[in-house]
Amino acid sequence: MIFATYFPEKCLSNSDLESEFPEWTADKIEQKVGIVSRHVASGDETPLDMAEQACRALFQKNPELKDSVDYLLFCTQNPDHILPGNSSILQNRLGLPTSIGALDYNLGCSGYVYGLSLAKGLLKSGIANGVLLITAEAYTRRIHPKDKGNRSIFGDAATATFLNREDTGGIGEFVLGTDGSGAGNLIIRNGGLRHGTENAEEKEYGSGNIYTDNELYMDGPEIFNFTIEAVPPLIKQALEKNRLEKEDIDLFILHQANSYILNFLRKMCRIPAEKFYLNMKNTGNTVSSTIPVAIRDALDSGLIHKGDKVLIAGFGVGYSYGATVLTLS
Amino acid sequence: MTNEKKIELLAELFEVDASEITPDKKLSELQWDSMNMLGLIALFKSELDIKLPAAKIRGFSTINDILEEMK
Repeated sequence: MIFATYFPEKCLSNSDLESEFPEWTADKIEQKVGIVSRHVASGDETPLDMAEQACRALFQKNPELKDSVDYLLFCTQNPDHILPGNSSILQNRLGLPTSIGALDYNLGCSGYVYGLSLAKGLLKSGIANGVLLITAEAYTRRIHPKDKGNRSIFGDAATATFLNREDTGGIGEFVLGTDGSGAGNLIIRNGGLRHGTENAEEKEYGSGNIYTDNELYMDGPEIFNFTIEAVPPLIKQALEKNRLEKEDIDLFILHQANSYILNFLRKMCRIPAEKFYLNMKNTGNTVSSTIPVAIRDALDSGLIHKGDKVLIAGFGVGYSYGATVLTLS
Repeated sequence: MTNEKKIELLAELFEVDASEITPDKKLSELQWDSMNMLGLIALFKSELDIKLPAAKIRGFSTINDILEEMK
């Protein structure tokens, strides 16, 4: 597996937030959610543009990969158009052959794990020989300017992961889950066929956050309840399905939602701090990109090495969740 | 759990002295924001193994409302 990442140039720091919301101190934000700064897509920058940059970075470092891609998977919830999908446009922008398969899928924080499950199936079945798995999201463009809670948490990013058939040996068994009863707790309600975007009224929620149904709404307490109910069994089942004990895992990389949630989950699951990845200080919660960003950072910083076992778990919007164990090649 | 222990846990959550955690204290006079709501969920889960739904939390207006739920 070969990784590349892209972050928009523009940053939003805690001090920037403090100047807009004086009751929200920079130190308090860092202390509560473990984030100091996050990258935000500017102007007309979209996940498609960001994905293109991530892919170009991947091909620049590994030019041989461009000829090896025969399937493109694009995970985003914010495509450029209702149709066609981002994956078709990206094929053309990157100059990939017209003989490749390409599809978009709509998932958030579980998106990378689901993408790996699809990639593994495509490669193992012989349908594809080289999969380019993209995650790209720009939630910040969907957050109301007066929603300080969500603006403090989310950041934008794109990642590109190349996988070939040899890589499938390092992708373990998957545990996946879906619970649509929580759909309304993390949602952009308007803009699809069900609800138009006209006449959306401003509403207040949480601690003085403002949003309309055209923007991202997150019921933090309900999402927290879902997380602490779903994730500990998800990790336990992923270990069991892969016939591993907690001690066999070199690093646990959970979706980097926010540090408060992650620390609570770590304690619930009794995972030692040194085996639990927590680093979102300069990126924030980048939705489907947090796990590949974390894997790349952990590899670059020498925290994990070839042959190590990494348990990854994604969970969020849907609700949708999934986990697997990677043995790094 | 003793009443003293409950008061101690809530004082820790709201980062105030235990003397400020009285039954009639309004939550609006404390730091009652979304992060402390998460903290309360965490407290109920870890100390009492009780799930605290968001709708119930939003109905709390005083410390007594929370103490009643901790029984």
